[in-house]
Amino acid sequence: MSGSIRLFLYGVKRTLPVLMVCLCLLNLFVPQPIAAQTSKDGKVNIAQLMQMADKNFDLEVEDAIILYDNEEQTWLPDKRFYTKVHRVVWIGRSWAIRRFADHRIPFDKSRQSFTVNTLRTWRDGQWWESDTTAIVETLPGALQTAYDYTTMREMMLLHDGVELPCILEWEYIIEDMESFRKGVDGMWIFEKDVPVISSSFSFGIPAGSKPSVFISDEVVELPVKTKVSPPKSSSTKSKTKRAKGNIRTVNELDIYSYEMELIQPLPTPQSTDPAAYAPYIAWSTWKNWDKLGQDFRKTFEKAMELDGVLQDSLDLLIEGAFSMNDRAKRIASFVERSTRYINYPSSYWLTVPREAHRSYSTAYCHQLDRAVLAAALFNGAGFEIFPTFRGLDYHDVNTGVATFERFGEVGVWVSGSEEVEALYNPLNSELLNGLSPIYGRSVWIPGSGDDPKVTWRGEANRSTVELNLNLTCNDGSNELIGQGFYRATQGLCPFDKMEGLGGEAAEFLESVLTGVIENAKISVFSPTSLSRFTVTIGFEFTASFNVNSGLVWGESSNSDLENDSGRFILNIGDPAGGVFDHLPGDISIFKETRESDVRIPGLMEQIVNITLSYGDKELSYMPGEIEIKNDIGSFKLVTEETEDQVRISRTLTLDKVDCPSNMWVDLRSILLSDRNVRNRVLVLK
Amino acid sequence: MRNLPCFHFFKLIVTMLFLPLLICSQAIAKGQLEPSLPPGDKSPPTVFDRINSAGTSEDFEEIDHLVVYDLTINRMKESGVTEVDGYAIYKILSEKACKNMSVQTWGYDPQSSFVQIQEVNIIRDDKKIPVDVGLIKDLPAPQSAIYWNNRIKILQLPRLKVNDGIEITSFRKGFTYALLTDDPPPDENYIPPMPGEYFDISLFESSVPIIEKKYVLTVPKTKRLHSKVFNGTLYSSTSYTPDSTVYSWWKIDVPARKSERYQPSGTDLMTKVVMSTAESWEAKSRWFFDINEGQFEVTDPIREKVKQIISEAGLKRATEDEKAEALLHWVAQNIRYSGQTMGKGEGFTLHSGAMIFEQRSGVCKDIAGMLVTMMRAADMDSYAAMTLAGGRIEDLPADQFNHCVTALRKKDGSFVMYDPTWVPFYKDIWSKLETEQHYVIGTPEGEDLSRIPYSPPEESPLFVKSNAKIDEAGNLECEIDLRCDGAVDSRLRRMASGQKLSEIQSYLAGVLHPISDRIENIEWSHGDLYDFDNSMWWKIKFNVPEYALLIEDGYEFRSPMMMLTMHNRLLLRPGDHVWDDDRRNDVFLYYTQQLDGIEKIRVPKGLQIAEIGDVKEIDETYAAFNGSCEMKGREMLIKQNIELRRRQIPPDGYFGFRDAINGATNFAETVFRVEKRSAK
Repeated sequence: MSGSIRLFLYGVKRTLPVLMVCLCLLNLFVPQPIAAQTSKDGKVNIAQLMQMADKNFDLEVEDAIILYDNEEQTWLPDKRFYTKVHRVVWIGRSWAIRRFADHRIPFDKSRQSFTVNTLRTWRDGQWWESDTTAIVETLPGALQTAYDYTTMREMMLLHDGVELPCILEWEYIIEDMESFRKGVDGMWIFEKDVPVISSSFSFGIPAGSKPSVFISDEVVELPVKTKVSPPKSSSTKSKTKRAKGNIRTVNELDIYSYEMELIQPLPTPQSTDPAAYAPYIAWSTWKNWDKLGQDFRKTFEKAMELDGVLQDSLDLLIEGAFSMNDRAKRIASFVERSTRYINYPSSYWLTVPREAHRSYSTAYCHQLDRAVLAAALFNGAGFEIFPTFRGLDYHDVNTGVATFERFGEVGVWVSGSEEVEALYNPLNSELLNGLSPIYGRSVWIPGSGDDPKVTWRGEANRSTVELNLNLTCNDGSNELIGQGFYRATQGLCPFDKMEGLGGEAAEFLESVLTGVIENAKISVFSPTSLSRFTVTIGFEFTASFNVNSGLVWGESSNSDLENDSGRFILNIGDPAGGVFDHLPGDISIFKETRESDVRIPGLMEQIVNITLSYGDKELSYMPGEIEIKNDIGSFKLVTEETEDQVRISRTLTLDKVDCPSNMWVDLRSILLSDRNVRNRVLVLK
Repeated sequence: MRNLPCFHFFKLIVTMLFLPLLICSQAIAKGQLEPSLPPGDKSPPTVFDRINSAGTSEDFEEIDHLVVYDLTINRMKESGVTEVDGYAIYKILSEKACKNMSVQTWGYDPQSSFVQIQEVNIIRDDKKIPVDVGLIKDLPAPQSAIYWNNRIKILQLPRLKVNDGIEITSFRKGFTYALLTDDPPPDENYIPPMPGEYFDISLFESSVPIIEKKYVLTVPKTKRLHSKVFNGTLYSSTSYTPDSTVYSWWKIDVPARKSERYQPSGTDLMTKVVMSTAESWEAKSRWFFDINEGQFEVTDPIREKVKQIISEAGLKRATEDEKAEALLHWVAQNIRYSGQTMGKGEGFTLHSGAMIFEQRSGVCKDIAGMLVTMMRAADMDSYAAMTLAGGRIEDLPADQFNHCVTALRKKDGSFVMYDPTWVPFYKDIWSKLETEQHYVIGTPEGEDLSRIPYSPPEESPLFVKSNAKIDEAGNLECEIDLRCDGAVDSRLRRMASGQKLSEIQSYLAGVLHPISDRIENIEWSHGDLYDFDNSMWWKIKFNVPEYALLIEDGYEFRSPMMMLTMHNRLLLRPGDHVWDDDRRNDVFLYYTQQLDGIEKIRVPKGLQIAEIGDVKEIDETYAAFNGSCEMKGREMLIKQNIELRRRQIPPDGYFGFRDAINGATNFAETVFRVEKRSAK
């Protein structure tokens, strides 16, 4: 060892303690790292959560991470509902500012109090508390012309001091001011649109009560805390429940708690019902579906009040109606003409629908009120009515817990004579007389005694749409004449679109045909079967070849650059009301990858058979034969050419209703094959 | 005992005498008979007359309701406080209007105005049905991004019927708009920002027909008024009393003005009168300076932050412009658009720099004020300025502003304009979406109305290079390179900043979707979102199996490049839109643009391009298009050139503009064919 090195080591040895002391002192003056932080209530170690986030996720590529996600729902002994929400979120990219910096939280000001406990931002080594001006009460925009609904508010919580990266913490309580519910139910999905480090959910119910609960396998269930004091009320003084004829009071709660850690984001695209594939809790104070259903139905029916004006209007409306079906359609049309649809979740008014005559006199309704108004009129016109809920997606939503959470907005099932078995959808005041509105969906009729279930999916038999067209082209022209045969069954049966006293059948049939041949016109048609299960129709039509090369791609083209090459093009598209029109809205076939599962309403098959006699023309292009078969379904294209005739048979079959995300590639490949221009165009010259 | 026959006779006489009087008085009440008027003359119309004579749905096609009468009487006081009596009559023509007019609302800002709805009646046949104005609710208004605690008043009307009228009498006081509870508060609350001054813009057109509209303004005799009518003609009168001058403008039988997509603000198009008592733009400028000068105090934390920004950018020895640009981008990126109220003075006073620095959020005026403060912290001579984003300021010193920006005075006295609100994720200091826009800078000396210069298309170019290859099986491999400047820079940055990082792949699939559903293997890279020294760029690679269709001896396909550029509003704003044959209103595109696209498509050996029709070059005043396609060896070379030469196109220039865009669209839709024969 050289002398100089020895000298260096000696120096280090002497100065090391001094350096250490200096470093410690220096540390006192450095802004406190996030590691030093806890939540405002001191219960959450944000430092530790941030370390977990850093260790388990790449902060360079995450837009945001929810460090702490907690919700407490409590059904108080005096039958008031109390909700506390507490979140801590790290944000790192600009998208996350738009997502998390300003919160819009709905509540009903006439019946609930709203208390903000925490609203602050951790940046530059300190917490920045938001000012009082950062808590702003607003009216929901959708309700600004709905006088009766203006008790709803959206509380804006605005974070001060946001600069990337930073940590946001907010906590608020929404609490019923008076008791107005007979029971409560709720759901908590642990996955969110960004990763979550620690997620916890709890619900409290009066001690000794028995809740109804569903817990996904992945969720960790904590021991129940019994006889816990209720949270301090911020609104009216808590009242204790008095049992009938008994002075005993229940003033304590049992708290059920659940948690998960290190949770990946919800897979994309997010479907309308993430509970179908993401871990969740559902809970309810309702003993079963029937109890919840009876209560809802009673409330619904009580509101079905017609006054003299509305009764007179109804009498005039149905006077001279040709049939029950005609009556029902007149009523649906009347409701659409006479009320504005208020596009705001009607779930806030589930316990207090307005009376039907009030909805009519004010001229606007949200979904529930429109359902009540229509139901009152249907009922007054001699129909049986049943408020009806449909599942958000195409699967069974019944886990045994009675909750509204996994249903869409309410509709009305209308039943009268043999003509009308229809679902009335208040959204567009449309009457769907057939099976398609319930195809593949869980259906629940509150008060019927039945639990929700998927009533019509056609597992045994595929739903089918089949179109056979025989076309002949005139020599020397591009005109085509043809005969056709259309058949659609079960879930694909378009009875609801075709039945009616006007031109409904012709109009829909033409849309089916023009989906396949763009410019076709039906001249004559004759149904052999028109029922809720099957529609079978024969027809004659005319059409013409396209001479525009752009139409090879099946798209209208205004191009004036097309060469007049003397070609005749027939692009064979998809029939309206076929498979593509029944796929879930979250399917985008142009996306190569997909994280979330696909739920299809039912097993489906679409067959398009074309026979073209092309006379003196010459075939330039016809599709080649192809068959793709995989675990999801198949696509088969059969072609045959004879002397002056070509036959094409294109069959798309979906054999599974549940398509896991790893099978999206299979589903996509058969859908793309059907859509591929190579498999659908004929070119003659 | 009474003499019955005499009594009956007496009754008859009385009846004969008084019945006509009774009938006459009722008729007069209904406006049916006009006593003491010469033949042909009419007494002033009643509300019943107005509604009856307004017309029905048969007279107004596709119109749901009418403004039958709209009278506004404004009384300005010396203080500038103005009281406004409003009287409006509407007529319901359709069932749709029965729904849409069933609830009446009046918005107002309680900080600056007061609104009182005094009387509301439904006019049905010959009856007035009063609506209880005591049922009016006063509620927080819907708010988004601007949270100034505005409010609305709302009233439910009884079920309306077709041909009903709605009659509303109101009173307002203040300097923005709105009004009334029971007793108007004292004037002190509503003295306008420029005390003693009055300004207003009154539009005489609407989306529904107006049968008659009248605007009356009474100004104290000590005040002088600038006024001018724009975009049409109005009847007008001026008179005076011992204490005041009375101005009136009115118009009758005004047809509905239907809005069209891509049109400028309605105030640029509709007949309007603009009025102001402010002496000049210079006076306005001085007022704006004075009222806000106290808001730019430089605190220690701000000073430290400014030093840090300049230091971290390596600009300690840099020019003033370079430092200013660094500060601009810091403000643009870190002060989010979310405005809280400061209470008194909100709406026209900028929040203090210290407040915004702490909140890290505000609206345009606060964001501009933050930059003014930070520039001053760096010893720059900066000021706040007012402008009208997306609209035209008429040359009359009235408050025609909706936006606030920052001005930096240079040593030679000239100003450089900065807009931190419109340049998040944008490399320029002033958005090209705001060219040709008027502004007034607030200075102690007072400035005149100025205007941002025109920006030619070459300042906002999009250069597209596409290198593609189609193999024997018709599969496509393609790499598209997007480079840009000016306005397009913000568009290309938005393609990245607008998405979650994890969802860019999915977003790009949507962007490329017009090329094909069968897009595969998307790979991409792009410029640094936060590098404002260089323009944004993207490189996107992808494959499409079975892209070209083999027909006989040739392949047929469309240009991937043009399918992309003509179907994405970020890349070419007017591209993905069907332009109608006719147009009434101007087209407003916000910015000019040049698009230069060049695409090379390598095709299988031995193929030549089949003839396509002539590509018609279109060179019009407001837009131009040119395209070409030729074969060079084994490569097809497609060129696409588009110029949008003005951001606003008047109706008489519409057809040229439309032809240029349609020409580009048609060329993009061309199905190209390469085949095994010699080129035609």
